[in-house]
Amino acid sequence: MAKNDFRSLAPARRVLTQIIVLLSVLAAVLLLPNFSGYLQRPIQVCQKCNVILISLDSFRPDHTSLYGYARDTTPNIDRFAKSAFVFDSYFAASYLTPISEMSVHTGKYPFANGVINFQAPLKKDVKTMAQILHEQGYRTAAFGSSPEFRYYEALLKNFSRGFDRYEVAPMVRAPERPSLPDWKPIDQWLTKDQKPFFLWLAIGNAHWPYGQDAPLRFTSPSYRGPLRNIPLASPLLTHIDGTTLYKFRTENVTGWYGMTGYTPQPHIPAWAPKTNITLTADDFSYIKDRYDDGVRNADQYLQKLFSALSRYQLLQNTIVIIQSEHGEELGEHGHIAHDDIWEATTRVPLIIKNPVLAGDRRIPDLISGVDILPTLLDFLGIKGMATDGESFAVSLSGKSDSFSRREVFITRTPLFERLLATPGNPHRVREFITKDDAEHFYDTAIRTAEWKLIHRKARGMLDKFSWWSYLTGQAERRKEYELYNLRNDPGEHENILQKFPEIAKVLLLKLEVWELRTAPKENLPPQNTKEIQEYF
Amino acid sequence: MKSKYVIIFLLFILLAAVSGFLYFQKRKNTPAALACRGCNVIFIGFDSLQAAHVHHLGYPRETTPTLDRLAGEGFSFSQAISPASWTVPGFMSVFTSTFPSVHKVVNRWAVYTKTQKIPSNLKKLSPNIKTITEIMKDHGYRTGGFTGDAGVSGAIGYNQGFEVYTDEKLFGGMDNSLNHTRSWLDQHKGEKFFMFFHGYDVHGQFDIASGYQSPFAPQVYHGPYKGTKAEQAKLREEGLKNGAISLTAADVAFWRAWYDGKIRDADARLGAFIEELSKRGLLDHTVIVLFADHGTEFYEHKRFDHGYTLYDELVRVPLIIRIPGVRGGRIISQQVSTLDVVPAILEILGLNPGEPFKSQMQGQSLVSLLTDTKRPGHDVFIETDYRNYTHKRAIRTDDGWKFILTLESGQEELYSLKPDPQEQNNLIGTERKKADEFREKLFRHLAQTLHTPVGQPLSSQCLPVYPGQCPL
Repeated sequence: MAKNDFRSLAPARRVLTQIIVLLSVLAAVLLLPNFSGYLQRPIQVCQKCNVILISLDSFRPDHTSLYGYARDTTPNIDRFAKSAFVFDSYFAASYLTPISEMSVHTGKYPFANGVINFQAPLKKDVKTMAQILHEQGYRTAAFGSSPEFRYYEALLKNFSRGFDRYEVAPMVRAPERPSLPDWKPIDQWLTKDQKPFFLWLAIGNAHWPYGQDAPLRFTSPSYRGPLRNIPLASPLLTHIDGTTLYKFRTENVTGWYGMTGYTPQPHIPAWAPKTNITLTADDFSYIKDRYDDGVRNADQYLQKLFSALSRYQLLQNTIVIIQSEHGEELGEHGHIAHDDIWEATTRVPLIIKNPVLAGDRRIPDLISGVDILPTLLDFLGIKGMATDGESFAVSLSGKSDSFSRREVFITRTPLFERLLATPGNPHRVREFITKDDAEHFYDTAIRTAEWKLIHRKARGMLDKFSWWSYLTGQAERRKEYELYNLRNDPGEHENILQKFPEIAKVLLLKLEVWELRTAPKENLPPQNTKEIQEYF
Repeated sequence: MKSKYVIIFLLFILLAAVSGFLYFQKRKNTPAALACRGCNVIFIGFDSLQAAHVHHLGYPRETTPTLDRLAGEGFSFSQAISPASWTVPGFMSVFTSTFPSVHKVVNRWAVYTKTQKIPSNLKKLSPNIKTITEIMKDHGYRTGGFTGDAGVSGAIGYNQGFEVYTDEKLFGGMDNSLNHTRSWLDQHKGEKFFMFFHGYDVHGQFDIASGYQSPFAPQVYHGPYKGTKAEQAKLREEGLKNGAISLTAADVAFWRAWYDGKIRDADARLGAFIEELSKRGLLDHTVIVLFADHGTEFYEHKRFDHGYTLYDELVRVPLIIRIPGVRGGRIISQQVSTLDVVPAILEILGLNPGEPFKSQMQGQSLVSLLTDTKRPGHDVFIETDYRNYTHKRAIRTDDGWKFILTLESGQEELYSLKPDPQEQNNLIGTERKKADEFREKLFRHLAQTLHTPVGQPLSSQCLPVYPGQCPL
């Protein structure tokens, strides 16, 4: 027996040793949960990191190579996303640019933050991302080419809050829409001084008109169809329903043009069809090709930012969020537009790089536009902001089953361009925006991983004033509820409400509870004053 | 030689006797032995008594000698949950074995606006729903209800099926009910009967003699309260208005002692009632079921009274069943709902209520729990639309969780009742998986069982139970 053998110890010592070992094991066992808790502690804060928010107007993820599109539309974003988190189920809170975008900037749903249409004011007590970061000592600037953040006074006031510098290009006469912001001033601003910065880059390039100023890589130069030489902008595209390109009519054209801030054009443009035209597969391909060219053009532009970040060594202390405020329907429901809350208009790309979090992961879980701000604040360690969203900051550092969101909620306030000025009374439409929006003539939807329920509350009003009805001469005739199973019917073509009424009821109840929680009380239907029943 | 055979024979007899004894002993506790065909049935409605203040269920003070004796002879449930937290919906759920949203008698008024007040009535709101009383009457039982009016007033529909229903005294107590009971029992000697015996003796609005001193009162109390019903009403309304009231520990001790004193007194009156039954020789063929419709909050969540929340001090109630000839004396801890009482009674009596009542019943008979200790309890659902002040729905699971949803605000609460029976620690932010699980179960219940009408805006003015009342 070796001298140091345990058995050679005196019995008392042996017992003492055993006790010590036991106590050590016990201590380890007791402390271990705390230790592993330390390992799984909520994420490391990105202390005073810069923030770049890129808003890519009208980007459909399924038209980006990053999300699996056959065409090479986003090689630069692909490369940038290699060490980033890429989200496969990110949904905008609405389908119109400023409404959706404000949900991201405030972490609150449209009716909770106030921006429910193009003219509604952002609530005074709601803070935007720019305001919060500005208060934290950040220098803040917005550069962009999305006119929706500028062309109404309300839009300008709402979105410029908190920005030292706000250079989102003003709207100019259509179709000369500036497609990409001038890079030089942005480059200069990035390196202006050492203070942490917040940069918001609003790229409008993929929006109507498709492929504006873009090099034509996907569009065939040999296209000879009726759409050649016509800007694929809203006046044209909103005249398409199904396979028909409807002729332009003289009456009511004023209202439409007047509302969008375009120079009123009482005359039908020269390029507008004078009779209805049946569009072919080639014509639709052409539209998609131009759209893809727009997407690629935006991607090319972003490379300027990506290389600047490398060059100035900003990647190591900058959080980059790339997202889109809505997608686009390219004929899935007969329209080329973002006018409804379908999958194609609400499912959008989201890419996040946080230098202190290991990325290069695809996240399949549901994320809503209102989750971005609380997550960003968690990244930065900024506390105390109440939002409607759920931060997924901790989930990014844990296992994927720790994402808590089970459904996303989407609001559709009626696209004002669709509201027809009745002949001789363009002011009527303006009345509609404020009065009826406030009285909740809007649709809402709840979408889980598998189901989507849409409550068409606006159907009555749209029956009367829908642009599409005017165009086609056919009333909208929406059903009150639409239920889609997105696994079997991702195109949302078959309303199966009658087959699954119990699922619809559960979803609708959740939707109504959400509405009550996020809609301001004064906008609830009448009879919202508490009148307690008297006692016995 | 002969003696050997005699011994064997005697042993055989002994064996047979022992087997027979054991066999009949076993039979006594099988469900068949719980049958009581042709027996009378008495529902004792011990209004406002919370289970936590019942002595044999663990309360240190000796508040309930009669209940304890009854439990000793029968079966007492320690996790019996009412489907509502106040009287109007609570007892109606028992009598119909349906959830409040289903029988729709959820408030005193079905419509209550500045311009219109329409009182609730079971027949008008739910013409297809029947009460157990009507079933009993159809089966040849005499039916009598002796109550304290208010939430169980006949006009609301509680008299449905009762040949005699007394409710002339507002917030009347057991003494008053007993007077009526005596004369009624005199009239129907020898006839099988179904009775509802009810009193508000421990309710906040019960008329108590002025200068009442609770036997449990603290020796010295310097606070302002005297224990009057006016004080109770004031504290109740203040709690509703402000969300909480502010009392000192001494005040709370005073009020809880006062409650216990009332319980003791009521228990004694109940004892007199049972004595009356015994005197008339009714106990050996009368099934007695005692339960409360809800409890009473005395500052457990910083408010007074009942109806406005779904915490245990309001929904965990005593439930005692005494079946003649059945040796009980057991406390059953599996969770049940008071919706389960009527199905149990029908099983015990061997009565077939036929359709549509069979399909109407949403409770599950708790008879098998009386003998089978291994059988699990079940999840229970609870609701309130108390005076339009709030609309809450909850699930209390068999394994000790409670998830509460407040419809008008969307607020959610989650409590783990085993470590936190006082429901002070809201786990909604941390126990996300559990919250998801219970939320799903509750929403399914709302949609499938309660048929909560969808498409109705859920504002506190519009009761989510009445379709068409909330025009879009």
